[in-house]
Amino acid sequence: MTGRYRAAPALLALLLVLLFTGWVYWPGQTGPALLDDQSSVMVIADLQAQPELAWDYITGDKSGPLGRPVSMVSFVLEKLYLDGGLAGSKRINIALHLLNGALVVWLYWLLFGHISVPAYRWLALALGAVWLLSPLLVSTVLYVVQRMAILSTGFMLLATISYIYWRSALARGQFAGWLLLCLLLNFALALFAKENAIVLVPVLLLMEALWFQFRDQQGQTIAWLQRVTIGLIVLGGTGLLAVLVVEYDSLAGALQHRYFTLDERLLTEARIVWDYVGQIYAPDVLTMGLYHDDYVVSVSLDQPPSTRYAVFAWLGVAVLSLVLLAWQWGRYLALGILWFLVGHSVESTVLSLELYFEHRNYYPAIGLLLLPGVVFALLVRCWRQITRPLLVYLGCYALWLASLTGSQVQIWSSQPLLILSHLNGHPDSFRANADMAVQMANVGEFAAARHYSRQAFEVDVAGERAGDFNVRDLALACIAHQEVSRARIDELGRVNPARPFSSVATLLTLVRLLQDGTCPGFDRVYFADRMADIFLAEGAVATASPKIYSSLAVLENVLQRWDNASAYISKFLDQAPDNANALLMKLHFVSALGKVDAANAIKSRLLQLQGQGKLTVGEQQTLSLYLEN
Amino acid sequence: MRHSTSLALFAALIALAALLVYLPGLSGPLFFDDKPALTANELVKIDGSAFDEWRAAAFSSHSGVLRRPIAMLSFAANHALVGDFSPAAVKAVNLAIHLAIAGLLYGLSLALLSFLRLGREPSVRQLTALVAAGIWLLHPLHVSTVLYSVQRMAQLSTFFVLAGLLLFTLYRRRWAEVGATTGEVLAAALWLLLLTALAALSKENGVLLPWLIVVLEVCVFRGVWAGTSVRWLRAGGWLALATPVVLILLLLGLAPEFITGGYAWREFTLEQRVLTQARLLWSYLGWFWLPNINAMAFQHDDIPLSMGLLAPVSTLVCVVAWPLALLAAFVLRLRYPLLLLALLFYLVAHSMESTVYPLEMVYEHRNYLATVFMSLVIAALLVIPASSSRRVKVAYPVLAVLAVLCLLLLVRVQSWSDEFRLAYTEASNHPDSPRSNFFYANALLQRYEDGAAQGLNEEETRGALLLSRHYFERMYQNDNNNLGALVMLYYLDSLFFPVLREQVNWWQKLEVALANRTLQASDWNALNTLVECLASGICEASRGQVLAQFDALAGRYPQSARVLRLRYLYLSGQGAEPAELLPLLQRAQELAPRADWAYAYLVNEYDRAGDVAQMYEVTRLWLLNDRQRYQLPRIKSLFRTAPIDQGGSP
Repeated sequence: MTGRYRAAPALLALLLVLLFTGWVYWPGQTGPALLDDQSSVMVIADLQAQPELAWDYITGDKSGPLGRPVSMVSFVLEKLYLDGGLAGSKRINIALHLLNGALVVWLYWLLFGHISVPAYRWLALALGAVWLLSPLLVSTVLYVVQRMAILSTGFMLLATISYIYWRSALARGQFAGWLLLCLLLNFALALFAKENAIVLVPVLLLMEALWFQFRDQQGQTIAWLQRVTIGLIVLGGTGLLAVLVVEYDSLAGALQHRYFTLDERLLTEARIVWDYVGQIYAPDVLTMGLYHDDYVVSVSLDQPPSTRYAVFAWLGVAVLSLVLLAWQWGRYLALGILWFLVGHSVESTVLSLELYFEHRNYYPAIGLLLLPGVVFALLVRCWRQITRPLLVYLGCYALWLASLTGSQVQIWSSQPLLILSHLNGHPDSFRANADMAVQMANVGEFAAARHYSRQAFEVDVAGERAGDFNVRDLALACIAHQEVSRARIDELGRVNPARPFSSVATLLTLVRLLQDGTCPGFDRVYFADRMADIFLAEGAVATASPKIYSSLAVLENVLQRWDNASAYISKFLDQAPDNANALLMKLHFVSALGKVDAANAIKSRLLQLQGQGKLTVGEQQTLSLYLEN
Repeated sequence: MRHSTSLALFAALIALAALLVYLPGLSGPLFFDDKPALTANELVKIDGSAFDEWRAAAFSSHSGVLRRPIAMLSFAANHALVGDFSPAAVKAVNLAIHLAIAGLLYGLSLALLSFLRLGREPSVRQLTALVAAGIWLLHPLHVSTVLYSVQRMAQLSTFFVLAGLLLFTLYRRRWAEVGATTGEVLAAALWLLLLTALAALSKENGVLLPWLIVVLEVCVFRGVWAGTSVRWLRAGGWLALATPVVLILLLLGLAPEFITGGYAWREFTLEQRVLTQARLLWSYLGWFWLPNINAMAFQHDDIPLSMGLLAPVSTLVCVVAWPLALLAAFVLRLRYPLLLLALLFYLVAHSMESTVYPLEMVYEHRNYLATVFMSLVIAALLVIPASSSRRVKVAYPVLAVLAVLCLLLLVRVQSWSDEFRLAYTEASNHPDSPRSNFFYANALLQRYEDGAAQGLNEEETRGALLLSRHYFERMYQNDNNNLGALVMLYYLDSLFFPVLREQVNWWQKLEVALANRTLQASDWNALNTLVECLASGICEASRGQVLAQFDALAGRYPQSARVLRLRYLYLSGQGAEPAELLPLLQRAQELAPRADWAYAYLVNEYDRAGDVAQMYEVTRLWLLNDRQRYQLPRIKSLFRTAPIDQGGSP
């Protein structure tokens, strides 16, 4: 086949690979909502009825410092125009994953085409298929809120492809400004989809330095590009190092609320990132899932002993990368390694995040898969005849991954199966046990629910508060339609009386259950009294986070005990005086109590905030209701 | 007419003959291992709409250590396309594979003949190759592979092995003339490794491909590289040929339990098996060279075991004859290279199933691959001398042999085209075969039960019943400990012949047999039938008597979950409560953590007990122990059918 149609078979095969991947993933759409889905996605109201609230949701997400508005736009648009429910959201994630797969293939195509690898189109397709069908990515694709990572990766890929075309034009002596613009636009979109898109900058610099090696079409070095790239790498590297050294204490301080220190996090991540490497190349689906909160923290180089091996192995990789830099093909290999590590640099190093999440590999895995590609290229450079069999082997590898992904998708398509699978893979995970407890309560098996709840309490490496455990027990009793004795409510707040509760989600769940009246055997007045004893009574020493107070205020509101509700919100406002939502709640309570002066004072404060543009549309609407009266 | 056109026409004629002769056989039954592998295997009966169904179907066979996923995928495709396991559709695919293998055999034979320069001119080689493929294609010995659906496993394995041999031959022929680059050798190795994997994933004896390649190397290419004979390559070939034998002997010497452990479930020892196989390998050869379709059968359990070198005496003759035959072939290897090739290939291809591994003693399908070069030898004998003779026209012997094969094939296929006819033929030809008698007796019983539907009058159906009992009785007379016969006689006499039941105490005889016999797979099936009969109340025995037998079995097989399964089925059939049944199943699950039936029964019993928490716990354990997720669709289906998922989302 010649000329323009030479790529047609590979493109047709790409289409088939995408259709195949879609088929593998399709059953996953029936899976449940998980963790942050509840707080970021499921909270979005019926926007077809109230489209004016759309902006609130676009700008209201608190997941990252930039608010991730691009990701939120996708959720909002989906709610406005498609709204296929949770399954619809998962279908969109699957579609976006396929699009990303096509972009990954395009990217590999450009990269391996640049270094003239025989059958580079088919190599790109095979590596892209491996990425698309990696079971490690199931927990990104079928976890709705991780559309943030999916979108971010998609824009990063577009930016990278823009860069390659831009520098290819540059190599021909042309300056394609629109491609640069395209790069910047996609970078911005990626950044506002999820902040770790910032790693794109070092990845592009490394790609220029290690893959394209500053060459123009004639193989001559583009001196200014070399200077700028190396300058930025040195400057960026030094700057980051300096920030780390100077800000180390402050970074360490940010981990105060975690159960590990910064040193421990870094040591543990050395092991975890190796674990990711293993899961990408030789997946063990039995331990895969959303919950890795049972991962043993490395407290020193020897504890656990694998820490030492992991750290030294990374040092070995660093040395190897340095050695590889001396050799043209070594630099290609080094890019794969560095892409992966840089891709992990935001979430798997010093920031105060949880230790282990599989979705963190969605973008870095693209770099790691460059390694087998480069090895392939090296082999077929030596022995051209093995090109076809090696491609077939890569295809078989992708098929094997597909079989693992297929079974993983089936697990993710059923809530009970996912819960059981998490528990089997992570018997010491707090979250896995807590989920099982809820599932047992859902099917009316309270004794089993309590067993798993107790197990969750005992295995929690972060040390769950006894109060939270007790509240969860009450919630489970409520879900399982069990009678709750007053003695059990009296137990609340006995342990750690200064700060008895910390889990907002647990308390809020119980409050919502009580609010909905789904707990016939539960004396909610007695419960509210007990909580008031703990937090509001004369001389009470207990404190809590603002959201604990707002949850209790909601409960008191249901009971129409606005005095208590108002008192809880006052405690909330002591910690966050300008919180508009809390002010509106306060306004509701004081209005119900007939405290006109207090109500007017709050209204004027809210109007001030509105004037400063600090109220959402929803909050403004609520305020306007009070202003009309 | 040009030679190539006439050859193509001849090839088409052979293929057409095979098609037409096999056509009636497509209506034959699905039976024996077809049931557990296909019709009773829910995981392979898919509609194909979800990808994971295909994965689970691929690994749903319990045969072989690798689960034969390629073959099972092909069966799943059959089901997905047709909507059920129609015998005609399944067997038509088998026939298509048979034809494709014959095509590969033609290519392989032609390539080998060309390299060896056998036959004066290319047209003779082409004809020889075509006749070899035709003999193999039309040979009646292969009916029990082609029309026994589940043996698609052996067919696919053979297909990939022959593809590998053809590929090797094409590469190697060039290397012998002009040598090869490293890249070319690596590419060939990679392709062959892939084909070995495909063959082994169809049926495990596909792993023999590398060894069979070595056979080609030592018999055909003999270390010739770039036009010269390379001594180290020649010596390396013989060394590679001997290595697996040495490894097996070492294994037997150093860790005999690896092999002998499996003999605990057999009624013969390792020594008896090896001695018997020495005879059987000659018998197989006899069936191939002088096809006697009356000797051929689906089951050959009437062939006596060799209990020693002189019992029977033919054992010694056969044992001695093998090295002599090999020696003769070796001596004559330069003059008659195909002879050594056919013999070595035959033995190596049989090495997995017909030597030390504790499989059942005889099956004809083991010859499916092993005989490919035997047919080449026959073809060469028919074509090459005749083509250089002025007195004999080559067409006469060729057509005569193919016509005879066609005729024999037609007769055998006819008997395989109907379950009843097949059972009758087998029992008639092999009156001493317990299994043949059993199948015929069962077929007669089936005829009795379906008599009205088949338009039989009362006398005919009654006759079928009496005849059925007669054949079961014959089995019993041949072997007083035959559990299948005892169970069926107990069942028949209890249900239909109460007078006879008064005369013979079958239960007592069963107790004796159970105490003496080493239970094999077929015996466990018989015990399942017995338990059904007891549980339904047709077969009468007191609960105490039955439980005492289970206790005795448990004493003999303390680590076997199957005894517990029987006990469970019996008690469950008696209407026992979950409280009595659950401890049995829990113990069974502990003994056999990967036995899916234990989990399925446990879920069922906990459901009866209304204990949803334990249903979840059992499901969790099932998921935990099913590490490869073979049973995932079944486990998932538990949540689709409630009551395990009564709750909503949290």
